[in-house]
Amino acid sequence: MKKYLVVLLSALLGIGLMASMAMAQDVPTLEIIANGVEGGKNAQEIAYYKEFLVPEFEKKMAEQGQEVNVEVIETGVPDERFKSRIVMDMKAGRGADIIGFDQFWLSEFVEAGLLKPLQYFDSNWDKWEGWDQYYTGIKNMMKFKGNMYGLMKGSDVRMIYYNKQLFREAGIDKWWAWQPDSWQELLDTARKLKEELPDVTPLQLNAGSKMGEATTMQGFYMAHLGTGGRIYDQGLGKWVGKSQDLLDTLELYKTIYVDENLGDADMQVAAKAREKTFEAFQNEEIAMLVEGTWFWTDVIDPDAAWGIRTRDAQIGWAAMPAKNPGEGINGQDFVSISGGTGWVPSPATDHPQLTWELLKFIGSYEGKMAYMDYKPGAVTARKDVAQNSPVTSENFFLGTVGPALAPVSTYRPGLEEYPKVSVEVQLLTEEVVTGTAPKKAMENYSKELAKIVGEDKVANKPLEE
Amino acid sequence: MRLVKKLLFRVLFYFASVLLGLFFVLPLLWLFVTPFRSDPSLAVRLPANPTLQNFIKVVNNAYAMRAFANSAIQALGSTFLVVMLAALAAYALSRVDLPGKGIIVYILILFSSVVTGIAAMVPLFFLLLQLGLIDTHLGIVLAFSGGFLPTGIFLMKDFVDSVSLTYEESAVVSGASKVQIFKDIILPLIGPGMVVVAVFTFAQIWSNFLLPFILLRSNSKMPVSVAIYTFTNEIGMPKIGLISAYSLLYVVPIISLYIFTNRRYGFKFYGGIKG
Amino acid sequence: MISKKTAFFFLLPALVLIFIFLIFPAFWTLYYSLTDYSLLGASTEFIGVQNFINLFTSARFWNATILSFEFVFFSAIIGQAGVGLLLAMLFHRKSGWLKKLVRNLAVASWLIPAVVVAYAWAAFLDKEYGLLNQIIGIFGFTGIDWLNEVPMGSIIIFNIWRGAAFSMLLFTSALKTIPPSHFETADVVGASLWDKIKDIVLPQLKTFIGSDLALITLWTFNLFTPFLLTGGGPGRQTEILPIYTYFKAFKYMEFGLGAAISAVILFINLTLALVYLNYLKAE
Repeated sequence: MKKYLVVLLSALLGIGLMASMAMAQDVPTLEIIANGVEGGKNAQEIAYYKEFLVPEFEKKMAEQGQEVNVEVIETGVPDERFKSRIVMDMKAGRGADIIGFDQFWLSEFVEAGLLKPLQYFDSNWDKWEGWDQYYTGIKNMMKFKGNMYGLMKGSDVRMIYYNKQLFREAGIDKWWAWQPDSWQELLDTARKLKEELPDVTPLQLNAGSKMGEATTMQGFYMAHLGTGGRIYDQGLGKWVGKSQDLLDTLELYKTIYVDENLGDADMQVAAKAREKTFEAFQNEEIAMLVEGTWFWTDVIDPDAAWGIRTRDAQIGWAAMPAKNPGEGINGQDFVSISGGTGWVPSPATDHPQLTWELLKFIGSYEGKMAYMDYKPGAVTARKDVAQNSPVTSENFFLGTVGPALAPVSTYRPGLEEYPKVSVEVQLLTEEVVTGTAPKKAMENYSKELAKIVGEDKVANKPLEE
Repeated sequence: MRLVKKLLFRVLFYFASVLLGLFFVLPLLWLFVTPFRSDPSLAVRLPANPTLQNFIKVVNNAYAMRAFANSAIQALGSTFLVVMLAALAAYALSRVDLPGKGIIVYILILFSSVVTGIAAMVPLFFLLLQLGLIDTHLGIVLAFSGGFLPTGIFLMKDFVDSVSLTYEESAVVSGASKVQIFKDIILPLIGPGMVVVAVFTFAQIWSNFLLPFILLRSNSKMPVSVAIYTFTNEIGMPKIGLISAYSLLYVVPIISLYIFTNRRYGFKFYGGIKG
Repeated sequence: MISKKTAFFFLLPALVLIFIFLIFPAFWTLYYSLTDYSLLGASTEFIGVQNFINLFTSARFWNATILSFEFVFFSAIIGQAGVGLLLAMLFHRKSGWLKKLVRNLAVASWLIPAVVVAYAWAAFLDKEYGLLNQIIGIFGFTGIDWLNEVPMGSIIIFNIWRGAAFSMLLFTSALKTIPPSHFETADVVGASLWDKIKDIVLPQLKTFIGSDLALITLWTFNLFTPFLLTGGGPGRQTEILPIYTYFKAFKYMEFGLGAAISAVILFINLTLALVYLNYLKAE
């Protein structure tokens, strides 16, 4: 009996040891991880890596006498799962050398000590000639507390998409080039649509936690910036709990979803809310939807999942107006907000110098031109790519939207608490669209905010009577 | 009167059986028709022009197909360990007097619910990291085995309890060794119990997503539960035709295992499970 | 009888595995419940019962706890055990294709991987195309958006469907331990079905019911699958404890808090199990 056990246990141990032995390799391998999978989620990005980046970079390095293998680690799962996986890898000091990374995670990761600035990988990082071609605003999205941590793929902007066909049927003035100048005009258009086309949902402004970050970005922020408000007051160095601007924002939600039923609140808080919204927009059941450029390139592209065959002719866009002209953030008439994803090098890499070489190649002119072919975006990170890419010149939408809205666009606060605050913002809008009074909801938000950032970091501003 | 009552019961029996049968079968119908449709949707429709296109696309995806081999390695490996070790342990527990052993096993089951849940993900990850078992099939097999052994022992113990001691005693009298007794007398008698534990464990592991996703790294080792995400569109929403086809293939092994074992051994608990 | 020593060696391999891969990470998790451990925290500190205080003062936690109790009570204790017992009784001392078919369908529902089941149910319950609404339509009713209009009801029915097989299997074999003469006597005196259940089945099956309830309560309390159907919504209407844990652990990366919720679930289950087992043994 004992013999049998000894055999069993040593077999277990032996297999474990064998598996744990590192495989000796002469040629250095670089890994790049992204939340995508061939044929599935973000397939275009994976195709870019596999078809362009891997062979081209290996070839380029071979020409310089450096053999290198590049491998792509595919995932293609919900974003929060991707995030937890890369965090665990980084915590354990292992994992891929270059990570596809959502820009709004940056501050959290840096504060947690998981990322290192670019000088860690190459002391001459700032001498790279590519930097001159990067738009400063986009470049700095990867900057935190004075240090640079990676490269942006590009950025985006947000606006109102509307269905011209429905506008025409409802008899909206200038349906072919509609542009509201205030919330009042936006709401009046919605009211008219509701009256003329009772089966159509006039306006969807994202709300609720089911939409995730899409609520904060293309819902809440797009309204809130129009009041001149921000969730973080740079001047005070505090997060804003209660304020008149916030209340006005919530009142807009209440008008749309509760008082006048100009929007469909059930759709916002439903399971698969986003999927349902896209489907409804495709089926011409939604007249106006506030979304990002990604919606145009990835959702309603004629070949995409909720493709609209006549997209270019039928779907128009308008800039999001401030509450009243001049009342927006920085005294603007129109507002937008930008986010985006990028690449960061992992401090766990065994080959810092090579990793930096790969990152530079990704961010180079040829790298970005190729990327633009695989995954067209509205706002690319490089000036020379914006000028020369056939995508921007051939594509009227991408060619016009970026230049028009980038100047009025702003960014999320690059603070480590932001992701948590963002979740509270989503819950705040959820409460309002499901019937909680704005003041009460704001009260709750202010309390939750204090739990996250600390009582002393919350500013409650006086409300108008 | 008696006859009427009997007839009434008969009608009631069929009515209840059919109703329950429908309750169980209706939600599954979609899975069996959709993969064969050329215009897959969420509706249950018989395919107008039956097609194998969805299956062909799925089968041509090397990653998704390799995932079946990975799932098989992980699920079979863990199931084998759980069944063997649970049988040994259950036998020992059943045959010795150990105060409070029932409660001990139940508490282990309680803990297993913690470990197979979300919160234990981080400890498990770092544990396997220390053991050098991250991104290995062995790591997955051991982690699953640890998690499912208590339930396995619990289910198995009941079968062992039911095996009469007289068999063993007469074998001892005939000079059989302990190992021989276990192998020749006990094992055949508790076979049905091992089958139940095997199917139960296999099913749980076959469907588990989180553990392999966290503990594995290479796509070449990922099981079906992870690879199923391949069949989504660019923004991560499922492609109905492909996902239903892959799902159907995913279901076949576990259902076959059940049908096979049920035919061969009968899939049932022995005399119920007592607390 | 085998000696204690032999028994120990029989137990050893299982114990080793259980100790390394179960007890150790479980206690590690419980330890986390006393810390502010976060994957994205710079450092981890021991904070005593602060996580529990935070939980017990959070409306969202109580919402999740109440929903979990509802979910367990209706879907497991009433639903799975009830349907399981019904199935077992219905087919007790019967044979034939109908019995085989229904039993096999129930077991299939129990064995099919969760993600597949979730796709099938999402299609089944779909407002516009789902089979359920089509059937309802035949009878002249208008279908509703089940997962949004009756979210708790939907996941409760779902879980009854999903898990009834286990109770059925358990009760089927348990019924076989009741001497057939009991039923025959009851038939002779013309006892009704309910009388049979009340006077024969329930008393004889008490211990079986106890262990069945302890197990399915535990499993249902820890069940994450409803997330694949409703994502905890609409709003927080189906945010049961495992889903709440998921949000805390994945969205906030607060594993300390997530571990504390696990500890709460563990404690609830331990209490309930003691209640079931004691109550049923005492009588």
